[in-house]
Amino acid sequence: MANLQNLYDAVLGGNLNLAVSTTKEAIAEGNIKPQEIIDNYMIKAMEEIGARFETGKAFVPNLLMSARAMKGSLDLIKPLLKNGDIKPMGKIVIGTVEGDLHDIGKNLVSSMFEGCGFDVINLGVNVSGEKFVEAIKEHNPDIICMSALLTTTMNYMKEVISALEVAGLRNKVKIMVGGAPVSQAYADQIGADGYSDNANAAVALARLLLA
Amino acid sequence: MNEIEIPFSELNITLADIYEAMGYKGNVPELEIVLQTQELMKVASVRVKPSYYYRKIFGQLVLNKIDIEDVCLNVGGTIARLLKNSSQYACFVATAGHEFELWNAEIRKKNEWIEIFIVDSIGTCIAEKAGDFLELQLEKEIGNLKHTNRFSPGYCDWHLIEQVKLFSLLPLRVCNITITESSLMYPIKSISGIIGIGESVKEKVYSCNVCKKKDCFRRKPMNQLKVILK
Repeated sequence: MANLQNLYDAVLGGNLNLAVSTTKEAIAEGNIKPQEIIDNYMIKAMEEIGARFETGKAFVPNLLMSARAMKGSLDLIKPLLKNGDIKPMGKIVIGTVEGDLHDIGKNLVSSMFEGCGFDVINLGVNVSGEKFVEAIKEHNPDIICMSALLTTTMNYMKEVISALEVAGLRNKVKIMVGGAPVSQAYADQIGADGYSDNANAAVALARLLLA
Repeated sequence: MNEIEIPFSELNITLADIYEAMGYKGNVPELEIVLQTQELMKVASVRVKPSYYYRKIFGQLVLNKIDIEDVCLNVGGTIARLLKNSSQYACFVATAGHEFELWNAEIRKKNEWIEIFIVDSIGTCIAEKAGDFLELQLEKEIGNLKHTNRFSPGYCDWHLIEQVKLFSLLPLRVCNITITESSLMYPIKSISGIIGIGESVKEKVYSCNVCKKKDCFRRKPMNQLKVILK
């Protein structure tokens, strides 16, 4: 019988191979509902690694390893979920704003979102307001996330929000912002719905915004 | 002087430097991360060609501004105080170089986020260590004169848009670096700035204790900061 505590430990420790093999075993046995595997073991493990990160007991690579293990298992489980069984985490469009080419932070956040079960459309870097608008029309996301690493580019976030307002889309999505020069005060100033300063907090904030 | 390529081995980058850049704060990473970092550093040592350039120019500090040639750098109050008594300024760039960017682009295509994060951290270390190397060369050149820490646009009150003015004091496309409309340097893993030179300037604790970003993951505790009074 599959030891699902191994799955918890594998996601927590970032062990992709163990996560995948335990998940395969559990699926083959069919004794537990896929959604229970996700809720009771995988998400619990991600919550624990997130808590450790917040208290300085885990680091960015630990988050990435756990997200990788979780995604490996999720990829096996998702096809088994019937439409009615799926508890959607949410869909996110993410990008670094126009004029800025930095993407490591944005990609870490993207990776954590994926690992935690969100659908993520990553628009890349140097993304214009127009592209954000097009992406919202095409993908109908719950949240858009904007990143900027420069004081010279962070102001473009406001332009994106204005573009969404002009297109009549502002009230259809939540807006999250992040990046080194960005702060909660800046997020409030430009009318974003939330700000986070790390990948783990971004996931927690997204869950909160969609609750 | 001309731009100088730095032999990778002379950067003296340690694995501990990379782990620090990754945010480990003195902790030892998991074996997987250690092994991967070691392997990637081997690749970096072969592929990456860091370089630097600096130019010493006489200038005058007036309040928060430095007049250098026909350029006025508005460095702000914090940096101006730390540049006090400088008579010359070394305007510099140091970069991990285009070879790093090419390697980084290849890694990113693989979509393996842990590897991408490690390589990004290596790039950060290369650029900073190239800056350290540059400072050592400057020290040799100025002999008995003293120098300050290095200061960059985008830090403290020195606005990033001043990068354009700084680059106007340097040769065009120095070290093959270009700047975008938003004042971003490309290759991204590059640093630029000035170093004050004079008979009685001081290299002081600078970055972390005066920076306003208290939640920066790179922020070092006071007891880890280098204090060299020259």
